[in-house]
Amino acid sequence: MNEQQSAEQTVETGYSPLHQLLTGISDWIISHQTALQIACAVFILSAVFTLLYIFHKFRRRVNDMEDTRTNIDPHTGKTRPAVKSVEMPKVSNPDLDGFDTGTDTPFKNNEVVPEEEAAKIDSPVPLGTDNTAAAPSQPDDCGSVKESSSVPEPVETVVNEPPPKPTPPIIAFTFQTERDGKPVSFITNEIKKRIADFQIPNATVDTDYEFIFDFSIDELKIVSEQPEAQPKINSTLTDNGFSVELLEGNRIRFYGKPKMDYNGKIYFLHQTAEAFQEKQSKRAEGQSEPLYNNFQDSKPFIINAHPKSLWKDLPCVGTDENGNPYDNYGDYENADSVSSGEVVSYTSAKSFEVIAASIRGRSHAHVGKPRDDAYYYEFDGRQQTADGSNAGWNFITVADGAGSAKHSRKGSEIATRTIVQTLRSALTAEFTKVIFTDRMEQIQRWKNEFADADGKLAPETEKEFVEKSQLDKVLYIAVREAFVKIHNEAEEYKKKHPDTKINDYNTTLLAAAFRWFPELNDGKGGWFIVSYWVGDGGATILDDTADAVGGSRKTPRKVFVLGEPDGGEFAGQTRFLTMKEEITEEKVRKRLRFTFCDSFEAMLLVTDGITDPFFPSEAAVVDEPRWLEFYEKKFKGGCYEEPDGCKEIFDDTIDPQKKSEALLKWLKFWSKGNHDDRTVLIVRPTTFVKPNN
Amino acid sequence: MRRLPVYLVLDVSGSMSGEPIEAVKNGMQLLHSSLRKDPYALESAYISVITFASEVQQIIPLTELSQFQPPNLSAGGGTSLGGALQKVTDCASSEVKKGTREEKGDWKPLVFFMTDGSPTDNVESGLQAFLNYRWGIVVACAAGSGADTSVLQRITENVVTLDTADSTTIAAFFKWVSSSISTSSKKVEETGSDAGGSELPPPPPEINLAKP
Repeated sequence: MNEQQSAEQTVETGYSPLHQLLTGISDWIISHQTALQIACAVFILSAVFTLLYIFHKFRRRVNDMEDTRTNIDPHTGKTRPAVKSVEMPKVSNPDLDGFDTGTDTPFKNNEVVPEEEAAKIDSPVPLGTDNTAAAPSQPDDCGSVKESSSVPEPVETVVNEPPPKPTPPIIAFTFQTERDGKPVSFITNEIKKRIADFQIPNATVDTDYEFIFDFSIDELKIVSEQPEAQPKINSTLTDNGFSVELLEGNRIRFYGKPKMDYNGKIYFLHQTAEAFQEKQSKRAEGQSEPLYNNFQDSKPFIINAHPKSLWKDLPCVGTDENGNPYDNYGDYENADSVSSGEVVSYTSAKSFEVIAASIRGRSHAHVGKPRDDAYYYEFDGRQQTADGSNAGWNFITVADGAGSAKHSRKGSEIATRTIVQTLRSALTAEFTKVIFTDRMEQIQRWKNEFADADGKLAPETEKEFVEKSQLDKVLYIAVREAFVKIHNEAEEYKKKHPDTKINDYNTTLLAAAFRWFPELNDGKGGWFIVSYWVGDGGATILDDTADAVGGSRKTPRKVFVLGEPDGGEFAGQTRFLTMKEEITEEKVRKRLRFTFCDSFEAMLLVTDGITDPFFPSEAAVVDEPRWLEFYEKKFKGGCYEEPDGCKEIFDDTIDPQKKSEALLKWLKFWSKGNHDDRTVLIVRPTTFVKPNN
Repeated sequence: MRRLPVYLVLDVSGSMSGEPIEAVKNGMQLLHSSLRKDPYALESAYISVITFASEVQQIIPLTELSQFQPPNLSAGGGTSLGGALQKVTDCASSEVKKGTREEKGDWKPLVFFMTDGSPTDNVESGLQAFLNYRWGIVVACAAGSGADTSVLQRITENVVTLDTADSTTIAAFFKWVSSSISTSSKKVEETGSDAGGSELPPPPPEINLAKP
C-alpha cells in the first residue's frame, strides 16, 4: 500500500521544474556574460524545453528505479548520452566540497524554502516506506513530476515555525563498488532502498542524539581516503550541533546535540567514486563538472523544541498579549517561590535545623497562575529545659492546594497555620507532663516494643497507646479546627461571591509534631514524633540510630513513612482535608502515626510535586527502601539533572537560611511531565551555631 | 509518568480519495505542527493512527508526540467501521497501561473517529467491544453529507458533522482535534483526573454538533 502511496504522492508541487531550471539558468547567464556563454545558454534552454516537452508528453511513472532515478545504465555502467547533454550550471556549496548540489537540489538554487512549505509539499511518509517519489527531481526525472491540482491549499496557518534556514539538512557521501574488478553503479539501488528503510527518529533540542546509517551492503565501500569524498554534512547541520563520522562496516554515525528545532526533511546526497574521480579530474582541467552522477533521497526529519523552552513564566498579575490587564491572585496573593531556614538548638547535642522551600510549578507559571503549595513551622524546642518542664514541641507541615480549586492557595495556607497553632496550644507543658513525663516507664516499654517490632506495634498495643496518650483526640481537634477555619473563610468569601464553595479551597495536609524526651532510654533521651497525613505527597523519617536502645534492629538505618498517600489507582484523584467526611475522630485516628527514634538523619515532608517525579505509584510512596534511594541518590547525592544544586544543605557551616536558597535551586530540577508546585521541608540535626548565639 | 493516549481513527475508503484524503494528510501535518509547540502535549500526549478501508490497519502504534511523524495515507476500498472499532479497542487494551500498585496507569485514552460514509461491515461486535472499554473523550466526526450519523451516535454522544469533506472543513476539524488534545493534556495535569466528555473546546463554525 505504501509503495502505491508514494507513487501517487504529489510532492514536487510548487517546484515547477521549468521555473527551477529557468531561475538557475538566468542566474548563470547573468554571472557569465560572454557571448559564447549566452549562446550556450540559449542552446541549453532549447534543449531543456525540448526535454520538458518530451517528458510531459510521455508523463508516466516508470517504477523501475534505475530507469527513473539514475542516469547511468545499470547494465553497461555507461552514462546516458541524452542526460549528458543537459549539463546544468553548478551552484557552489562550500559546505559539501567534493559534492555537487546542482540546480536539481530541492532548495531552489539556495533560495530559502520556508519550512512550512517544505513540510506541506514534501509531506513525510510512514516509516519504512519507499520514499523515492519524495526525492527531489533529477534533470532526467521530469517525467515523474505530477500535477499539483489534487493537493488542496492549506486553509490557514496555525503554525508559527521558526525562521527558515538557508538550506535544508544534507548528508553527503561517496561510495565505491566493484564487481569483477570493474566499478559498477547499480549498487545505487541498494543504497536507495537502504535510505528508504531508514527510520530516522526525531531529535530534541538540547538533547543528545545519535543515529547510525547502516550501509553494510555487499560490494559497497564508503569512500574515506580523500578528504573531499568523505561523508559529510552541510552547515545547516553542523551549525545546529551535528557531526558525522564513518564507522567500520560502512556505517555512518550521525550525532550531536541540536540547538534549533526543525520540521522537514533531511536529504541524502550520494555519488559513486567513479563520478567523484571524474569530477576531480574535470575540475583539475578547469572544466565545468558533470552533474549527472549525483543521487538524492530524502526522509522526514524532525527536531522538536525541548519542552523546557516552550514553558512560559508569566507573572500572576500583568498584561496579556492583547494588552488587557489581568490579576490571577484575586483576593489571595501568594509569592511565586518562598524559602526559609532556621536552626533550633536547645540542648548542645540535639540541635536541629529546618530548611524549607516551595516553588510555583511550570504548569502554573505557563498560564500566570499562583503557587498553591504552602509550608509552615513553629518551634518550642528552643525553650525546652533540660528537665522537659516546658512544652518543648516542634511543629512542621506542608500542604498542596488543589490545582483545580480556585482558592486552594488560601486553603493550604490556613490548613498549615491552623494545625500548627492548634496543636501547639493543645500540647501544653501540663499535658505533656501528665501524658508523657509522668508515665515514662510505660512509654519506655512501648518504645522498646516499637523498636523491637521495627516500628510496627501490635494493633492492641497501638490502640492502647493512642487512647492513653489521647493523641487521637488532640489531633482530631487540630484537624477539625483547620477544616472549620477554611470553612469559615469560604463562608465569608461567599458573602461577596455567592458561588463560593469549600471545594474551592481544597488542600492536602501533612503535619508532624516532634519532641525530644530526655527521660527516655535511661536518661539518654529519644525523639517522639506524631504525624497526620491526608492526600498525596509524602512524609518520612530517616532513622539514623546506630545502636538502638533495647532494640535489635537489623539495619543501621530505618525509614519510617508517616502515613499513606491517598489516590485512586485509576481515577488519579486524591483526598482533601476540606472533605467533610475526613473530619471524624475515626478517620483522623486512622491517619495518625507515631514514631520513636533515638537519632535521625532527616525528617522530610514533601508535596506531590516531589513524590510524582520520583515515586511511580502510591505504593512506592510507602516503600521504605525507595525513600532511602530518593534521599541518597536524588536528593543528597546531588540532584536530578542539575549537577550542583544543593550540596550546601549538607554542610553544617552554612546558615540554614542560605541552605534554603540552595534547596530552591534544587526544586527547579527538570522532570518530564512533572510540572506541579513543589515543596520540601527537611529537618536535620546540625552542629551549626549562629554567630550571635 | 502518566501518558495521555490519543487514537486517531481515520476513514481511508475509496470515497475519501482525491481532495478529502489530501485534506486529511494536510490535517495530520497541521495537527502535528501545532501540538509539537504545546509543552503539555509534548510531555504527555502519545498518538496512534488507525486507518480503515476494506482493511483496518494501525499504521502508527501509540507513539510519543516527540517521536511522531505524520503518516502518508492513500484511499481506496470499503468502510470497515466495525473492524476499526474492534481494532482501536484491541490497540488500547494492549498499549494503554492500567494502574497497578507499583505504577500509576495512563490517562484514559482520547479517540477521534472520522468517516465520510456508511459502514460496509457489521459493526455490532466491534461496537460492543468498544463500548466496554473505559475511554476518556470519544469524538466521532461525520465528514460530508454521505456519512451515517446514526451509527456514530451509538459510538459516542460527541458526534460532530462537517457539511462538506473539503480541505477547509477538514483542516478546521483537525485544528479542533489538536486543541482538544492540548486542552485535555492540560486538564489531566491540573486536575489530576481523567478528561471527561464536557471538556471539549467549543468547535469552530465549520463543525456542527449533531443532535441525537
